[in-house]
Amino acid sequence: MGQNMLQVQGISKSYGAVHALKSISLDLKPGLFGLLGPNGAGKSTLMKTLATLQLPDQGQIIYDGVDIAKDPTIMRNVLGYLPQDFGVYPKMSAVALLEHIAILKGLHDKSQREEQIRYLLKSVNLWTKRRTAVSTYSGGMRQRFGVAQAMLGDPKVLIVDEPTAGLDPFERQRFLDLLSEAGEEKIIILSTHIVEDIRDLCPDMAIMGDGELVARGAPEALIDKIRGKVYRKQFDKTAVADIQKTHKVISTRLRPTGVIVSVFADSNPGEGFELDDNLSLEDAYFAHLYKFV
Amino acid sequence: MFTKLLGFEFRLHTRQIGFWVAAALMMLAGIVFISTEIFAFTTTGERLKANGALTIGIQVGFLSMLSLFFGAVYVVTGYMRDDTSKAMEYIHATPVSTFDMVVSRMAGVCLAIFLVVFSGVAGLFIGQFMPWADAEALGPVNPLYFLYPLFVFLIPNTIIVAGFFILIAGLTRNRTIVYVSAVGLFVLYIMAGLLPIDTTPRWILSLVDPFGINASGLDTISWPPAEQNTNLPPLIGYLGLNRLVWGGIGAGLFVATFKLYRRGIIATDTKSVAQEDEAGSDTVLQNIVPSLAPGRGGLGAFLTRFKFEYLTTVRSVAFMILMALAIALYGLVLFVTIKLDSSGTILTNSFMSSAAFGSLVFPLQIAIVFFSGEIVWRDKTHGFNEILDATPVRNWPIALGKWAGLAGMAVSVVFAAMLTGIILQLILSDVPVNLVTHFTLPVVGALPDILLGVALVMFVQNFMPNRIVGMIASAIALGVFSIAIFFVPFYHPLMGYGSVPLGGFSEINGIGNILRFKWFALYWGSLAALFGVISVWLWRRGTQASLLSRFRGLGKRITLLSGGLAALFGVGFIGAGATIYTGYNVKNDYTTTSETRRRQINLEEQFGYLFDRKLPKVRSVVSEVDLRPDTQTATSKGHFVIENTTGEPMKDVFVRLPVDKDQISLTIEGASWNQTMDGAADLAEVNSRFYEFDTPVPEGARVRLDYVVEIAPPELGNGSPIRKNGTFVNNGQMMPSLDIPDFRLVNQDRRRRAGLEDYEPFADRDDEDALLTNFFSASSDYVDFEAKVCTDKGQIPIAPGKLVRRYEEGGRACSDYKATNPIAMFFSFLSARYEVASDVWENPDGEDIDLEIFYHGAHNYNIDLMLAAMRQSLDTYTETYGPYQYSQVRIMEFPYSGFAQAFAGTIPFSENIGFVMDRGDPEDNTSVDTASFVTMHEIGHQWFGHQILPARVKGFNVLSEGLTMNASQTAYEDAFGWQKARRFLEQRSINGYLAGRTFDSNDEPALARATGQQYLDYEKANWVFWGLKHYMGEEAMQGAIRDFVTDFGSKGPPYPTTADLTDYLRDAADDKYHQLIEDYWERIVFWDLKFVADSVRVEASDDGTYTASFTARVDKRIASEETGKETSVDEMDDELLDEWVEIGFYDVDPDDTLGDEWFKLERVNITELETELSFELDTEPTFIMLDPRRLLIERNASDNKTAVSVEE
Repeated sequence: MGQNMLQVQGISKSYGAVHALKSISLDLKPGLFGLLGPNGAGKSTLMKTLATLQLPDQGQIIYDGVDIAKDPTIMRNVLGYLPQDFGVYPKMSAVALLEHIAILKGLHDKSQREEQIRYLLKSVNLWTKRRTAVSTYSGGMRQRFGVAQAMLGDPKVLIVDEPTAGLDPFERQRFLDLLSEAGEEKIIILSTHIVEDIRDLCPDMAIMGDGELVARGAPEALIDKIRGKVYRKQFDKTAVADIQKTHKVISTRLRPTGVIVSVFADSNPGEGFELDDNLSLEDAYFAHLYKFV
Repeated sequence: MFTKLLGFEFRLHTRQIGFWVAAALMMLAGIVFISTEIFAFTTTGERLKANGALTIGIQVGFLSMLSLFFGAVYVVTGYMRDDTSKAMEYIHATPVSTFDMVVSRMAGVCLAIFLVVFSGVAGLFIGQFMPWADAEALGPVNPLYFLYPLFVFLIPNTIIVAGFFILIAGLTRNRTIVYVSAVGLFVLYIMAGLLPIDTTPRWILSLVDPFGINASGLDTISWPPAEQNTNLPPLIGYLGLNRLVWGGIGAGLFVATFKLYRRGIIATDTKSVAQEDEAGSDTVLQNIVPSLAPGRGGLGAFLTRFKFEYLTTVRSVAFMILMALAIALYGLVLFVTIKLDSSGTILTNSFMSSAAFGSLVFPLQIAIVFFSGEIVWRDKTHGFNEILDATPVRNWPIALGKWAGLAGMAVSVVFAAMLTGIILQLILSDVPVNLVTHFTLPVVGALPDILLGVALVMFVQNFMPNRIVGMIASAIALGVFSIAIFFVPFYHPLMGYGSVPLGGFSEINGIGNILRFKWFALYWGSLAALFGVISVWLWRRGTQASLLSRFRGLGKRITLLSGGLAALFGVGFIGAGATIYTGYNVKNDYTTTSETRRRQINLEEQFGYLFDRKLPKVRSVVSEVDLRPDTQTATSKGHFVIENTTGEPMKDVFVRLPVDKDQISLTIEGASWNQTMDGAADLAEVNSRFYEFDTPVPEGARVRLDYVVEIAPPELGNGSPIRKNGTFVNNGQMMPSLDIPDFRLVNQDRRRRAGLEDYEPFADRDDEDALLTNFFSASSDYVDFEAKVCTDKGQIPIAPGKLVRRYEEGGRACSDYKATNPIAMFFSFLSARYEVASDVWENPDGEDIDLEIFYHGAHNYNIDLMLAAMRQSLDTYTETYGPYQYSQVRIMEFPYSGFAQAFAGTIPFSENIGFVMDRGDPEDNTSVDTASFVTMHEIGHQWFGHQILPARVKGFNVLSEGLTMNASQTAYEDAFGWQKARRFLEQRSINGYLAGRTFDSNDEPALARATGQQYLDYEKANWVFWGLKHYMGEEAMQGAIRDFVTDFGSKGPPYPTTADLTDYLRDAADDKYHQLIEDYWERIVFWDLKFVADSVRVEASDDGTYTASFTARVDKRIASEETGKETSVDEMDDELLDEWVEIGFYDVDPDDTLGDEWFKLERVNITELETELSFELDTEPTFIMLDPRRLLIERNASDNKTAVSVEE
């Protein structure tokens, strides 16, 4: 048994003129790791590269000492992967499809396979619908099925790419609960553009923007980095554009009474801005994303 | 709004690179097709112009069928794009009117189809101006020839096809069903072509083909090249009917589409599962047994994937529809055979099996192409590829699972066809099921080709960027290797991917060439396996798998095992290829078509003078043939006695060997092989040589030629003619010959381009030298013949001549034969495990004739029928033409092929005709009794061919085949009656002549000067004799032929010609028919009879009689032998109209009985183009028909009939 270590060493990836990944380096140990970033930041590219679906142009991904570009099977052997967007073969029930995937994953022992499938379907609360074609599932059910298939074979590395997009709050919570229970021995990489997904769940995270990792650390640590530097003030809607020209604006939030503008500054910018230490991860996210820190 | 939308639709299609690629390819194909010879199946040339009106019309018709393919693609990508691109919900919610939206899309699809196919038509037009085009093969440029068929074929067919697809697309919103319905329409076209033309009503034939091509064929079937070059397919007639009906259907489809169009989301029966809400239920991930995959175990994954791909395929709607089409085809083939075909076939094992499989081939090919796309791209189509590709399963179970899935589908279909054939045979046929046949034909004979096709399309998919392009490329690859490759002039069997031929299959002898089958199976099988390995190496894994990146990553994917396998398959492929090449090209002399042509031109330039040379003649042949069927070898030895008949001292003699030089030893008394002369090497390539005499042989002196020929066991590139069971060889294969083989290039267009003079193989009828040689051989007259034939025990050896004794020698079965009177130099040797049926025909002259049929035991269906036909023939012919010259008639069945051949008193008869034909209902005049007819025909040759040996001059074969057709037509009529004989004439000879002449790429000569054209020698001759005997009287005509036989029969040179025959006919005929004889024989004449419109009156008299009066229009047109162009005698100064025309009166519809049941038949003399005629009748007529017995050569007799009624 290896020690379950994943090292990303300076990988870059371009699609034509688009530089999707710019020399990303990242060391991952077991535990939930959140990858936060806006759409188009390169999260999915990184996820797919980690899942051996494509090769980096430069750099290496080392799993337990082996370059997975050279031997992708090393990675695939321990991998559970839930793509951002996936479909299923029509007319196949959850059980049949899981059985199919289990065999592809090398679970040759039939009774063991059946046992796992039963556990997983019960875990993701699809047991009663196990005979129904997955293609007819609703969005949330399909995502839970996605977790079940990823969990098949008890993978040591679990990559879930934007799993909560499109789920209603109840479904989303149920999904996140599932992840948090997946086990502490696994490397779990959760990519998302929704801050709340990470806040409650991940002891470790990174923020990604424009193909780069702009910050890495525990959510609290990232928040601490901006403590004492965030000022807020309510403006009239029309004034916001001017402020964005003159200040490092973290966010603008529309309220019925006006727009609350948060800015990043080493000292109070005046003009009625007030220091706010009631900081959220979201503040940290934007501050890091915009490279104010 | 509409024009804007249409513009948008137009740009949508034309933005696609595929649109332009397709258009460019179509244009290129058009240019190449019209301006080069690459597509060797075109018959155009100097006579039939490549840019003639009908030729272009039909080509545009066929091109318009491509709308099936493009239509399906554009309907899916254009019309159905909202469904496929998930844009439906917001597009359909826009305020655009449904009319504008739907109609603009329909119009866009039609426009796209039209433009792509039109590119092909434009290519044809442009191709005319290419500098390399053969100017002689092109007529004057006429844009109308290209424009007209656009309106007749392309535009209506585009609308029909698009309307059909759009309706289906609108109703189902399922692209698969659209694709499959394209196949359905094409199968409809194929089925239309299966309907027999002679027994199906024409209006049905004209309407079942949606594309109008068959209908156009009905209108133009008898057009000679001169008319095909300049006449547009007429719209009045079957084509017009077809266009009217199908145009209406096309328009109706559009209206229906619009009426049935449902905007927005169509509720389907795939129900969404409601969110289950098990209140309070926890979603707690339980501990699972960690067990991930130490052994990634390929085999289990492979089986799982295979099962998945296979079941998904065979359970798909598309598959079921394709198979339903195959079953419909099979059903139609059986129905046509059993119910419609005039000459039926017994439902033998071979027939049932090949019909079952034959019906499947096309739907299966389509299925392979279609499902290759479905299977290869399935994971991507369904968005499952990322999950799949991230699992640890290796590439090979995924890739080969797909290969196996498709192959499994093909195998299932083939076995299903096999079972269907067996089951239907049990139900429909009395013939016992032979499982070997049912297994061999589809499984051994066809499945290898199919599986190689599977490998090809799967391999091609590796290199294609998406499903649609992959399907198109696969279809092209399959088309190239299953059809086009065989036509290229440089074709070599090593190029014909996927062709693993059985070399024929026979119920008597099984597989024709097992050796070739094995080696080609190894050769192509290795390549296919190599394709498999490469496909695993190149398998798309992951989301970025461009072809380039897969090639770059190739090194990492080659493992020891896969590399070893690839090496093994590579060695198998190259090794088998080298073995085949050695067999074909080193040990034997395989020549490609273009090499053969070069060799022919070279030989003719060097040795063309030989054709004018007078040859010595063989006087006697003593032959000893030792057949060894077990090893497929033989030894043939013997000697000829040769007499110098050249009129001068003979310095050398030309000899052609039946085998390669090291398989023969040959000595000629006083002569030696001249190996040093110019061209000796070229002659040796065609197994020919000169022997030079030490001292010239004086005129009239005789020398002896001794030979020993060894027939080697079968080898690659040279299958042995000796079969394990069912050998049939002739003297050309077993003995040397002194004849000059005709090595000349025959095609006149190629000769012209090679700078050779016109091909004139036959001398004029007044060439006195030529009259000294007969059509069998220029180097013999009648010869003395004796033979000893031996074969393996259990088989019966047979040769021409009277059986002297049958005995066993050294454990082998032997027979001695001796010709009681000299016979033509045309010998056959046969051997098989035969059953024998025998009978005796009591000869009126007292010398009884032994009748024997040697047949394969299982083929006993028609033995009694054939024996009866033998007796009938001898009765009819001895009475009509004089005595039979031999002491026996024997018929021997032989495997493969489809012909019978008359040797002296000895008739080899293929298993595929006669023996397995169903005579049908004897009372039904429309059915043809092929077994009887062929028997009668071959026995007729004993008189015409063996008693009458025609001189080797123009018209020679009319004296053999033509007179034999007349004889067998007469025997057939004696046996089955006039009406059945009349039907036979109509279905075989009238149609055969009128259609056959239109396919001749050379000029048509007059009948008496025919140079080997079957449509003249058999069909026109039969028709002419039919007409003549009814005009001049049966007795008079057959009597003239009898006199001809008496005066020329069984004599040596000079041999008779058609000039002699027509002299006898003229002498026996009334003077008033001499012009008719001239018209029948010495020129190409077509009569044209019809009623002048509105001229027909019938009046009833008080005494119960009727007066019918009408104006008959009778024209006679003479066709030029150079151009085929017809000119009416009315326009010629030196021609008179002086014709005898029969008129039949009916009280039943003559169509029902082919005009047989008139109540009155009158013959009148016609001298004017239009003649008023009046007849007194005792019966009330309902129909009047001109020339009801078809005595005159008339192209269109459909206007010879008129319905009449008595005027009130």
